[in-house]
Amino acid sequence: MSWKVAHACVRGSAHVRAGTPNQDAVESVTGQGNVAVVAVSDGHGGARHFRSQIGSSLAVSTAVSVLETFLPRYAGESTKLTKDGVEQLSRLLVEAWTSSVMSDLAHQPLTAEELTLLDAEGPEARATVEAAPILAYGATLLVTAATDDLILYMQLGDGEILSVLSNGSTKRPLPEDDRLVANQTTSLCQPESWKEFRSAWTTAPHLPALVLLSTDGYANSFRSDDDFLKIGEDYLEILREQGIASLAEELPSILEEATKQGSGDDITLAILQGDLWRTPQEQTPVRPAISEESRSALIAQLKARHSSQARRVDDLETRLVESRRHNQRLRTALIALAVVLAAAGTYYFRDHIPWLHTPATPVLHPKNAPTAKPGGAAPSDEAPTTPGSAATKPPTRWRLTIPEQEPLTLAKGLEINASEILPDGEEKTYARVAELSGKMILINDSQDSWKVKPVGGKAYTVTNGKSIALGGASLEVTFAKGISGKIAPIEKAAQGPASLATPAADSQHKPGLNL
Amino acid sequence: MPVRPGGAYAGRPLHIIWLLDCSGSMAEGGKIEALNNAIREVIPAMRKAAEGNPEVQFYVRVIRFASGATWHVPEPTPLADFKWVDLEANGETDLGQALALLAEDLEQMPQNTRMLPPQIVLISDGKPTDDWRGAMQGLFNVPWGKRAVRQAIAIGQDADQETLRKFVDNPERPVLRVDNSEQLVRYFRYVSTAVTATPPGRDATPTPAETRPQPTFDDSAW
Repeated sequence: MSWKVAHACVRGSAHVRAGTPNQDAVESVTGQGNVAVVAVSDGHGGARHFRSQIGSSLAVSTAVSVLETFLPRYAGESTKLTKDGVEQLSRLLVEAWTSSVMSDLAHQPLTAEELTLLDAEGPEARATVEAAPILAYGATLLVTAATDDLILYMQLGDGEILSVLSNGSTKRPLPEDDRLVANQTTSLCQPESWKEFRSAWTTAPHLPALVLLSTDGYANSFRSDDDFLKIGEDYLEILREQGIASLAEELPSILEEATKQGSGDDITLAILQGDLWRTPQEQTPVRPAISEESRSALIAQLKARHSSQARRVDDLETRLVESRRHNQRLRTALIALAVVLAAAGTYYFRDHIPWLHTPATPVLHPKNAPTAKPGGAAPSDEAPTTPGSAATKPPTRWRLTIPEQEPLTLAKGLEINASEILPDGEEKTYARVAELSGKMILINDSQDSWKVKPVGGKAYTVTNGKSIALGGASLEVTFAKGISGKIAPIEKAAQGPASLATPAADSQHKPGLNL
Repeated sequence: MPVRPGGAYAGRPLHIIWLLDCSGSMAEGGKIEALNNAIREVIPAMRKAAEGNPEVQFYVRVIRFASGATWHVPEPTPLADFKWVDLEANGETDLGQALALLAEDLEQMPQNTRMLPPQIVLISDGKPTDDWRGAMQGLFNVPWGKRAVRQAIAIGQDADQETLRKFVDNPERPVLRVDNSEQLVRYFRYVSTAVTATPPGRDATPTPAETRPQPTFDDSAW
């Protein structure tokens, strides 16, 4: 018996209408030692996950590659697979994905355009993704790997894996995860995501006739769970009557109809076909022990392979850092030259320049003001921060002065009453100071539309629910007609050691992501 | 051979539930008439917006609260079939009872990936007269209560915006204050069509800044 694979991946009908890409991906391999690996991934649809189609594509390619190495060790020796071995495999899958995402980020750092689109999502979104760019790639992963005598199922996030016996009986081989509700899922991009894998395996003679892996767009297209589970016996019948090659041709149109009449979401279905006629036997997961020796040997092999990949990424990053440093030196020299030339020119023409005495220092919009990046993991055009170097700490307190009102000290957690701002204000919250991913913000809780003008910078408006990013620059704020004040940092910027470049755990997604 | 593997296809269900204040103060200044009229205007606009979103099945239900709370429209009614029966105003503002009624219902809803998060819109012109705090916590303790897209409209200056803000519990979704019937129609239509126009898989909120209606303070009737 040999495993055969067919799959299709179609763009959701709602995605077609909205002009958004297909964020699903699928990849498979069948080959040496009768090993077959199929991987399916669904890139998250939320605005923060704007590179999720790359994330899903990296998820399936790395998963197939890791399992293709892992599985042949067990060909003919399925009893050696253990829970610890599968746990190690979960780590490897996540590490391989993370490495390839980091590599992609090194080649293609997040752009200003991508981040600007997040501003529409509120003050939190942009800061969160800047602190942990891996979020942009968020995706699920479903993988099934099979040999002659073993089949292994692994899943992180939503989607469905079904196993079908030759009598048509269709089951979910993995335990259910009750956190996967509505548009919420666990994800490869959350901290320690390897712990979120659900996994199970079965050994001969209990192998299924058929395994179906699909992204959630397929199951969500059916009226009920029973309507969905019926696909098991139906695909089995189609495969018996017309064969897998013919079905493979029809799959895209089957899935297109499903998304149109069902979920509107991207749909991917991968079919792993075993022996369609084998007398069904009740599946019981078999998990005998593996000898400590062979397990250690296997882990060492996988680690060696993985560390060589990691070293390649490290080398790449080192080269990138070097080239950025070089560019930075070049840029500094050019800026110095420009400043000298401008100063000389200004001095020479000083009697002919009417605006010479107005301040010419550009003040950044607060959103773009340089502040210490939480985690500092976001690649950018700036010189990279290295551990141990000095970094400027942003101020933590600001003074708000409004004529005819007591001056206020703005610090984390402060709630400001309307009466403290407006002469006729009521005793209710008007604004709050909060911390968001290491940055301090002043949230507008009022119905007033604030006009904010950084000194020497461009004015902008802050409406209810929006916030002002408090940074090093002084701001003039018009809260209401005739009510203006000034916000200035109290503490001078202090020097402190930069933190190591690790994404802030609290800014990453927890289980049960809101997509 | 099956033409199409599996059973019947269907769009994903999204439940819209309105919590409407029918206390005695709503009878003043034509507020309850304005609310009835607003709903009659909003329904066709929601249907039109939903046309661009054929993969979602929208269902509408209504709770009225005054002295006590009851289902005004108890059955989840497909948007296309929804017919409005006017509300009348009299009594207290028992918001707590409305929230408890809602929580009890949401607790019965199936927990699956197929159903989209419900949208709950609370419209009120006054301060709650019963113990609403425990009931609100009860709502947040129900999974669909917590995951629901909750929005609120405050009618006139006597509305308790602080309570409404606690109900919404999301700084990205401001409480919308309305001061006349024209604003009520505009804002109610805005929150209602935003949800029927949003494709599944995308969060209907937060509100993009440029499309958010800007409060105006002239022409106040309430």
